[in-house]
Amino acid sequence: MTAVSRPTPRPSPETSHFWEACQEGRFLLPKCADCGSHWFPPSGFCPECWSRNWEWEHASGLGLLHTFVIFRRQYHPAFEPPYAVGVVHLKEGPRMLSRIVTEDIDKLRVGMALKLTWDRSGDWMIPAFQVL
Amino acid sequence: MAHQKVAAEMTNPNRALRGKYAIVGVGQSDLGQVPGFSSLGLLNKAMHNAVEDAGLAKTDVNGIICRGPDDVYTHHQRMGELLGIDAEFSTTLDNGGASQILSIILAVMAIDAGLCDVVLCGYGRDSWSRTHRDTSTRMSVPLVPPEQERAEFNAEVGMFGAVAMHALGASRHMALYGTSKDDLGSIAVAFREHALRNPSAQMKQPLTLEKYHSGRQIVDPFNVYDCSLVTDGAGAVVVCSAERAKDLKQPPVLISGFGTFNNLRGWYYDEHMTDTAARRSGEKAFSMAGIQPEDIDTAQLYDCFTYMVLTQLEDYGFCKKGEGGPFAASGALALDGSLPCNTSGGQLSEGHVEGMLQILEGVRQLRHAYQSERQVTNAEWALVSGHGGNTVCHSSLILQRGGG
Ligand SMILES: [Zn+2]
Repeated sequence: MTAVSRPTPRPSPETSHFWEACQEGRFLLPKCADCGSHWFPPSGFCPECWSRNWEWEHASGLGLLHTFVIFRRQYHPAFEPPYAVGVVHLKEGPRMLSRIVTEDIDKLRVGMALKLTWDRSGDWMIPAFQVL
Repeated sequence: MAHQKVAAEMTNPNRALRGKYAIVGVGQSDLGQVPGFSSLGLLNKAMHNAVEDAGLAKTDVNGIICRGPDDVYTHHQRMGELLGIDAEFSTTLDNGGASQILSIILAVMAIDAGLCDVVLCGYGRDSWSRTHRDTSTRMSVPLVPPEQERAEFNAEVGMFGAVAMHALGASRHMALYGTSKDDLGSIAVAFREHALRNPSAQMKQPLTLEKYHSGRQIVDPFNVYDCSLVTDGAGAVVVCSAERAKDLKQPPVLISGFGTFNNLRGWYYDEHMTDTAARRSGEKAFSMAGIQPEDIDTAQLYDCFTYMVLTQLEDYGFCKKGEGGPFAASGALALDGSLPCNTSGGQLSEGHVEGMLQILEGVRQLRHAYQSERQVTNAEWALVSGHGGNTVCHSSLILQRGGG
């Protein structure tokens, strides 16, 4: 069987540091030094107060399942259904799309507590979340 | 009293435009599987038909507003070339399924600003021919052109397509409000019943709730019947002043209210999935028209997926937030229900032309164009909606039967 690789991220200049840290197993979020907001995806200015004064911060890797779907149809040869994709409400505030890793896909519920794990995809480390 | 009235008018400046412009012509192409036509060719046909329906000539048209198919640059120029028209005003919009109503809003603005007089608005697509015509095409041609896909934070986690994006919203609504698959199914069933009365609709077979539940799962909670159709087709309308409309061939349909709202911070942000941009877009439209949701005789809602109808019923105020499911399941959306909805079958059962056919159906209902088996009795007001642009852009249009 020919292995088809998964799509990989194509980072922008504003997100490349986020992805570089991921490859070292570090999960970073931009944090505004003026208003204290975290945001995602990473960008050059705080979207809340427009401050340019911010830094990268190690995120807790904790979150809640805002919502999720289960792929039953195959959309890509490297993603074998069924699998779950969800929106994670990160403890720091922002939301991000993620694979939801679980033993029993039918027991997923909106509001479940989640923690960070890593999805290895070829040479890439992709952030994913698993049920706590 | 007079003083209060003036104040209200001032807070709603667009009320000055209420009923000042009209839709005077509608046209469409064949729908469904239409080999031998490009998206441009289909739209060309729809635009010809719309101008003919209005009783106007090519030389009367001096404005063109389109939403291009995704693979054509400066689409309005290509259309002007095919139509043989130089325009006083023309442009191409990029708000996805919200673009079609936006094109009518922009036409009103452009005419009112004195830039042009008679505007052709339209959209065409060749989705079936381009992506579904045979097995090898289905396997090799992506539904969404690669350049439109997000470069990161999307496909690498296994996220693909509009079905999953909207299913995220349905999943959250079900968790928050107890909305059921029966509720979603009742929407698909109601629109299919309408399509069976429409000879040009793509879907010809009856749909029961039982058959709905047996549908092939695509992305939970959606099965195949929750998803709109793959369509070759186009629709177009002609917009001009209500004054000019008096002398034209068709009973004019007045543009009485419109509004837009775009939740640009994204589908994942705040409660955008369950409290959509339809709410604030609708508030503006109702305010401009000076009517309430209960005054609407028929709603033609953007139904890319069953769930989008359900949330819009709530967001427009036809029922309370969280009660869209029971409202739909009560039979309200049927032709003889309290809110006849998507009376031509909608994108779920007539054909998916990104909201264009909903505008046409709203106009035809207000013209009382149909025999009784398809006609909403005494239809005076119609609400039409458009939704798209990465799931967060919304446009609303309130139409009134003119000449009364
Ligand atoms: Zn800030």
